[in-house]
Amino acid sequence: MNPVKPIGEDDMPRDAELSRLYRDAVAGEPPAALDRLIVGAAQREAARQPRRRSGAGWRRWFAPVSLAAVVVLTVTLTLLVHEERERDEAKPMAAPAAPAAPTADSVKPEIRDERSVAPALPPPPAAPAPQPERKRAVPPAAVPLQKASPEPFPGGAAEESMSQREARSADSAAQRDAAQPQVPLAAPAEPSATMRAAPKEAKPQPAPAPDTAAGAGPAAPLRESIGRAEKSAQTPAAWLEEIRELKRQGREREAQEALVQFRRAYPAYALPQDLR
Amino acid sequence: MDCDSAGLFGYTAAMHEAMTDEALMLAYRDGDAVAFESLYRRYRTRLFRYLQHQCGDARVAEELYQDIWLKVVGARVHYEVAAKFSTWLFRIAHNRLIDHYRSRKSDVERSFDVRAENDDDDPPYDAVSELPAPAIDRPDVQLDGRQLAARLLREIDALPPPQREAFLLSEEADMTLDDIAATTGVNRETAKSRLRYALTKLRSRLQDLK
Repeated sequence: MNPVKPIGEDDMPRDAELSRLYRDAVAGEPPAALDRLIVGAAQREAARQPRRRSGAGWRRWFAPVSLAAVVVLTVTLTLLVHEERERDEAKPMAAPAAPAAPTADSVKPEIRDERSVAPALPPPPAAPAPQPERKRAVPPAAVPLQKASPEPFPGGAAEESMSQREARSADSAAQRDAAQPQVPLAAPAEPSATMRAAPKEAKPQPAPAPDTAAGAGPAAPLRESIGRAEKSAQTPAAWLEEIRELKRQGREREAQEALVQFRRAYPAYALPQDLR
Repeated sequence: MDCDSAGLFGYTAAMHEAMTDEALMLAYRDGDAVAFESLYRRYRTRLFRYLQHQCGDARVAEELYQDIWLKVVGARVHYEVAAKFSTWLFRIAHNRLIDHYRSRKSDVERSFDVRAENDDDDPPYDAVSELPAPAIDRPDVQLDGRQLAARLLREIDALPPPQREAFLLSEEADMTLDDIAATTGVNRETAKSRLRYALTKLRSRLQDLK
């Protein structure tokens, strides 16, 4: 007879010879009557209790359905977070532009009053250096920006109203900025009068159409001077808004140049977070 | 029609044959009585022989056998796969046997106590006795099959019940040490020790026949 040796990985004591002997020797079966009794009882029990197919089906599908639900939930959450992030990234660019228009249009009378009363509005540059001034008028960003504005650049009376509106909106933006602590309010307010006078100087001159101005020699200086006048009429807030608009349009280089000009013109002006 | 029924039954039976014990029990729980029949066929002989050797009385074995299967039938509604079906079934059988021993106020019940088992008069494990016997001395060579079978069954019945149970679970239910441990409610080492002692004793006692 073989010794009791561990066989297999589970160190199970086995004796193959004994096993063979046992299988040859062992006998005994339950009586058939007992079989019938037990199977009959099992059938009666199965018939008595209703089938639980639905439960079994649910149990069978529980794991895959749970897995699918988790996957769908995860993907949905990921997309939502992604969208949220994109919206957050877009917000700082779009946010300042949105309130500017309604403020300018709807609070017009108030602003006029404030303008006449409040001298502490954020000042436009006292006397911007001619060099940056010219440069600022040159960037092509100014033209599309005006094109993109709700009213086209018409000239004449319309031009006046637009420049006035711009000035007003700039003032209102400046007021908003004044509410923020980082915006310096120290600059003098008197230049605003000259600034506002500038569009009036430019006003009588006829404004050429943008496309014709491109090729017309004598019209170019005229347009430049108008642009300069327009720029000089801008408050820092309006200028920054233009820079934002450039950035929004993806014209990074021009925006950068405009920002450099701005910094030259307003070295003490604290730039908003999104333009730093 | 009958042909269709027979074909369907044959298909169902074949399908059941391919199913695991646990799947059959789940199918029976869900109302498939034919699944129970397949399961019953798989275990009827194994369980009966286990009981027969464990209690040593065919009439009592039949009674216990019926009780155990009726317990399985009664537990169907709440059946969940928490272990192998064989482990679950033989665990019911083990508990039913303990109840049986207890009802007879037998000392056998105490022998299943692991602490009491330490007082067992089993000889210490003897490595020498495990050396292979020469083929000429092997009792199966010297005795004819029927004599040897009768002697083997007597020796099995003479084993201490826990050791006999370990041997029967290994042979009849084809259980691993872990399964035996789970069925009998002891740790793996105890199950291993019981089985090893059972095999050693059987071998040494059968060697006496030479």
